[in-house]
Amino acid sequence: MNTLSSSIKAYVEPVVQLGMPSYKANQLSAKVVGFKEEGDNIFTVKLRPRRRSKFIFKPGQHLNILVEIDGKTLKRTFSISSPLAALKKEGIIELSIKRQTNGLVTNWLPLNLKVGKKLYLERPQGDFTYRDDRAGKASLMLAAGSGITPIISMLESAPNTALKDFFLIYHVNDSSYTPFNSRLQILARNGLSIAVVDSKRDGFICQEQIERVIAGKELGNVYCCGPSGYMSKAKKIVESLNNPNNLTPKFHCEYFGSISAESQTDTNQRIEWVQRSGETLVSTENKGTLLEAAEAAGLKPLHGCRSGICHQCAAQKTSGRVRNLLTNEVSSAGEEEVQLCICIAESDASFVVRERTVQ
Amino acid sequence: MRKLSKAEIDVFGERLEAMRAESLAKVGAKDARYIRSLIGFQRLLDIGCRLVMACAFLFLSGAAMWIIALLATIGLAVSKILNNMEIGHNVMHGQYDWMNDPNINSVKFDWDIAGDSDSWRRYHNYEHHTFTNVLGKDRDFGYGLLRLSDDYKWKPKNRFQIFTYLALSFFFEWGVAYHELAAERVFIGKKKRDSELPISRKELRNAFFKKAGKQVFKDYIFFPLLFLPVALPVLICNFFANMLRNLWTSTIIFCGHFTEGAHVFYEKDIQNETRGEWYYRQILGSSNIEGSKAFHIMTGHLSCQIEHHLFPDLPSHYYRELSPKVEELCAEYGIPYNTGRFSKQYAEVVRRIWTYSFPTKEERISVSS
Repeated sequence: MNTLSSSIKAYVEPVVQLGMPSYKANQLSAKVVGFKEEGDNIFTVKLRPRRRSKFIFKPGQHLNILVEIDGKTLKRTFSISSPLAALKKEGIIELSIKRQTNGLVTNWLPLNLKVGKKLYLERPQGDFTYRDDRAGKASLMLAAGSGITPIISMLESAPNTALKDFFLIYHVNDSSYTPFNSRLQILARNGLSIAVVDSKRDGFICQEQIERVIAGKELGNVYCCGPSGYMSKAKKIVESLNNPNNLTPKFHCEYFGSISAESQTDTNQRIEWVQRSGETLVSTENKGTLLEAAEAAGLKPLHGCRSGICHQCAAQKTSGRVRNLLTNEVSSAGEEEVQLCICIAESDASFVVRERTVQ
Repeated sequence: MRKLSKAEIDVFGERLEAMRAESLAKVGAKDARYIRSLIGFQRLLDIGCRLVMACAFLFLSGAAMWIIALLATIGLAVSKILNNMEIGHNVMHGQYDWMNDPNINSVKFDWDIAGDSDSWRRYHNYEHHTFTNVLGKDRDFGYGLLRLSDDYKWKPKNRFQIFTYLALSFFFEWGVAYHELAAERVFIGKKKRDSELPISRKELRNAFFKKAGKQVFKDYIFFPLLFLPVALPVLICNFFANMLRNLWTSTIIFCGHFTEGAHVFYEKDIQNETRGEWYYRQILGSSNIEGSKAFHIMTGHLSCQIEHHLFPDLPSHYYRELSPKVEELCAEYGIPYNTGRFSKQYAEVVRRIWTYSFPTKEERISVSS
């Protein structure tokens, strides 16, 4: 990571910024080449990455974008909604994003991402990807709202001949404004079985809906993306399905709703403590300040004054929202440094902890 | 100075917190621009001065060479002062952590000075800022070398402490770098048993040598060798630039806590201390220097030492606009607000060092009898 060349780039970064304020060293970038409304408050940003080879992704993956709003760099994760072929042939990646109520970044983006502008981003990542490990068996896609984005990328990346083995059940708020409608129609023409369910009219996900759509076919994998309540219900249903040969389908899901601006304090929130290597050390319950929660779990985070002065306990938050007890301000949901001693978690959250090396 | 009631101190603290909140609400893009462009300017100045210095020795001669080299040396010193004070000190206090910048933050930033930054965060950000001027708790009070209060017993070596002070000033970066090791008795003396050091003594020692080695390598090996034909004059100029920086930082910092009016406190004073009382103590233990905007920037706004101690993680240039408000609030409560011109404050520092070079009357009697 810290090679000599990246250190030198970081050193000259502020010098370059004197003439080019938007320059960032050691950061991949893409040019905005298009912008489109999809309906249901979802919009799509079309990007042309500067270094195509760094963005080869597995359909279903997401990537982080970095935007600077009022001097503050904010990192947010969004799913790729375009097929891999678009990147390979035209060098294009699309991100489809839903405007969140009170969402700082999702509302800022459509107003500020003009065509021709540069956007900083990171390499695609994520495990919610299409697997072809169960050949001959059908795949069921379950999507709700903007949860369609990684799934449409998977479907459009699949060869047309394979589409007959895919089923999609898509829950939308209002079926007269189905996002991605024209793209879904093309997929349907190519053999995909689609059921669009109007949640307001036809209700939440249920066993009967799924059974009707798959019509007795044997399922290999189930891919599910939507709000967390929707996904846990879907998982239960899938596990209780009467699959031929008594083979339980593999259930894959992508959590993305957990960091929405609406999520409120929850008594069952979990705090995850991770090492620099990314390995999870321990998961604790959300009790007291973050420093207290970590200590209660037996961790020994570096700290000093316990009152927000010395910054020794500053830790990298990788997800979740925290409240600063001194300012009473609630943080944004992305990655940032927080002071453990004066913050409490406002949602599920995870942190990279720096521990004392002597006891 | 009238005695304030507990309720009054609470309200006083709340009013200071309101000031902090008001300034924090203004923090944004312009502050990010300010620190980035200052860092950019400082790095240009650093590289530029080193080049000009070498070119002067390589291609000029006589008076022109000496004048240009002298200016480049002063320029390099100014660059180091900006790096240490307005940039390094303030970034490492977390004043710009809200930017979420991968390099400009209190964990990653490292400065052009001999002291290891983690070590500095431990004893400066924590000990000095939490226990400001509390005898026995704030190691920065006299740096373990100078007697600045009668609470410490007079020792014969204190008679010459004005010279100790001068030596410390010239080699201030090394004094500061060695500070935590000395206090932990890493090399000599009995090891502290109640140490709260979060790393092992070996790690502390390694961090010291690693950082010190890096600094020596940069100024006394790498850059001189880079301009090999003139290695020696470049090395000497680098030495003087470091010296000038040391003198400046030491002088400014001494004016912040060791003026005659700066109070000291005892451990019993800080037991069960409330936030309001903490603010109150920070004001009594600190002193300001008046000056122009450029002067404030060159001191890293430690010329607003009082405001810095009240709001250590507020971007420093807000101290300038807060200073008259804090002074007014103090006047309202009858709390002394120690400020003055540089000459006045510095004269007080020298007088204080001089005064405590000598034993108290009682100590003199007990010595002679």
